[in-house]
Amino acid sequence: MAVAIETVGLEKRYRQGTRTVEALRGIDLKIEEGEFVALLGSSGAGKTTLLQIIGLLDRPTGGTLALLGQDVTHLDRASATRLRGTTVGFVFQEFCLVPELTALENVALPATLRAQVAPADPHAWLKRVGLGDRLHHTPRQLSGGQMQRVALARALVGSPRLLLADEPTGHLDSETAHEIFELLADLNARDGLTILAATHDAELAARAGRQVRLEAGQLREGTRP
Amino acid sequence: MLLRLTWLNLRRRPARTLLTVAGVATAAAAAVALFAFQRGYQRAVAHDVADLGFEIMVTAPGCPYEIATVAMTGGAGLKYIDDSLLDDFSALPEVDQATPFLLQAVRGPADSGWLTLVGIELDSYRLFKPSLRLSEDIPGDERGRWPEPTASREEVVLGAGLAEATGWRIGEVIQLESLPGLKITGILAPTGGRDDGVVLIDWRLSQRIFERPGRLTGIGLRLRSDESAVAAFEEHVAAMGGIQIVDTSAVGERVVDLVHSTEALLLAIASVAGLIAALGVVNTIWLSVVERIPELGVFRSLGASRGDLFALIWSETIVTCAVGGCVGTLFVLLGGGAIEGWVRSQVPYAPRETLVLFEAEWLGVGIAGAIALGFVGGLLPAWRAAALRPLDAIRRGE
Ligand SMILES: Nc1ncnc2c1ncn2[C@@H]1O[C@H](COP(=O)(O)OP(=O)(O)OP(=O)(O)O)[C@@H](O)[C@H]1O
Ligand SMILES: [Mg+2]
Repeated sequence: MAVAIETVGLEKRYRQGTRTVEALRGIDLKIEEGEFVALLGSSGAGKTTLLQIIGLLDRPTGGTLALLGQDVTHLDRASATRLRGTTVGFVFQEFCLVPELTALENVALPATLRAQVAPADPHAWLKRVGLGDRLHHTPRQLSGGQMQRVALARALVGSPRLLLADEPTGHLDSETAHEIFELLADLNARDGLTILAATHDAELAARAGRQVRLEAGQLREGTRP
Repeated sequence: MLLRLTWLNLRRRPARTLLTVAGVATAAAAAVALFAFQRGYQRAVAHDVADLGFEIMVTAPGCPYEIATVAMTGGAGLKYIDDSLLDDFSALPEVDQATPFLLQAVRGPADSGWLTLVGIELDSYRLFKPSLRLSEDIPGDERGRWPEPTASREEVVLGAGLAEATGWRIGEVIQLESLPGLKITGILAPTGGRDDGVVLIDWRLSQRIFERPGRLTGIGLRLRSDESAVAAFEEHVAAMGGIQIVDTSAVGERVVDLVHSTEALLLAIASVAGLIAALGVVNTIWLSVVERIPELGVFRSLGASRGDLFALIWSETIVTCAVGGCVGTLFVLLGGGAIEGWVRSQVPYAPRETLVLFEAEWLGVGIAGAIALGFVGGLLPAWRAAALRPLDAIRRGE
């Protein structure tokens, strides 16, 4: 199998006035295509930072990053935007849906915003995440778990090979959180989607095929609770 | 669909959007009304002057504007000159045509206001107004004829508008105040000018029934077109006393000039209104961008490019302004009558024709101007949205 994500000595330093925060200190991470990896770590460990760099929302200050075999460390802004649209799907702790749009319209949003993208099938993706009967509900009329499913469908509608989820269950009760992780596991198993999902919750992380733990910007592979 | 998103964003803060639209609408309305009035007034004055048919009028001394106004719009109250002057002026070699007129006003039937009886010498009057003819489609079988040019036959013709308003018909004998009955021999074809609303009567007949023997309100003149005519005319007039020469086209130009002189001021007002509206739009959209920073960041994470966000915000601004422009223009279009009434009550001399003239051109300019406002005003907030780093946008939302 090809390598989906590969980082070598990845570093991120934030400069704040005279202080520098070393958020990532030399991350060597290799994720094969088709893997479902849970990213564990306490608050401030650097999970969000790592996901944002991998998702091309931010740049590392050191080391290299390759996505699907392509070195993207020094990608220009336009190419990064293009790759973000075609290769990577993002979900966040906040579902970040547009409150005035229906579930279907929210899922169609990526295509709406980018006229050049071929129209995807938002309908099918909502069915895939189990919301086939909630197409025309607005976020206000949906539960938290349902909103995260809509966000998931929106992240997947462009058929990315890679899904990055930053604490996707942070705002959900534990039962709903389990459902979402089950859905992620199912997407991984049936659609072959490569998933990297950050979470605080070791129990949820156990659903993933593999776990990595971030501690103060450094990686501890395969630790189990 | 992008437009639907635009529309939704604008609907999120309906009150704010409405106020912004109202601001743009006001500016557009001001501009359109201004230019519609400008055009309409100029055209109407020019029309009135042309309609009068006289280049030059000889009257008793008085305010030339008052004289021109009364002569152009009807009415009476001017001082008289002696009708022997008609022969004097006709005899001048530089005078090509001369025609006498005697204006009298009487109460119209049943409180319809004042009615102007224009005393004319039909043959010479028609030389000044070759387009004057009798209506050919009068209801009934009578075709009508011109009154006999004599003081002894009590006959008149009516303007088309007057005939319609009063219902008077050919052959009818009308009774005005204590005048002898006047028989209607014909009705004029509509002229679109003063003659639509007046009664034309032979000047000698008018002198007799109003008991003004030897009196005229004035004499209309046309000079020969050779260059020395004006100088010769001025020389001859200087030698005569007790008269006033009114150059009607000069009066018309003066009136138009007066309107013109306010144009700069009104233009400045319209520009300031436009500027304020533009700032309002920039402010509103800018605010809505700042409010939506996290959301816009998520859009970036979904693959939207800087250009996509720019287009989204820009289109919001343009739509706001376009709607404002249309509303404002529509408002002026519908409210044109009210504006006209107000203007008429404000200006000393209002021509009979529509003052507020809507030219497609100006309606287009109102809308296009508003859209242009959106084009320019939208650049700043759109640039702001495009300049957002997706990372900052998302972090701020956490
Ligand atoms: N823009 C920034 N400027 C300066 N420091 C930052 C910035 N973003 C993150 N940091 C710092 O980097 C470190 C890692 O932050 P990060 O958000 O990646 O942690 P996290 O593991 O996602 O935490 P949490 O579980 O609370 O979300 C923290 O010490 C944080 O304060
Ligand atoms: Mg985080």
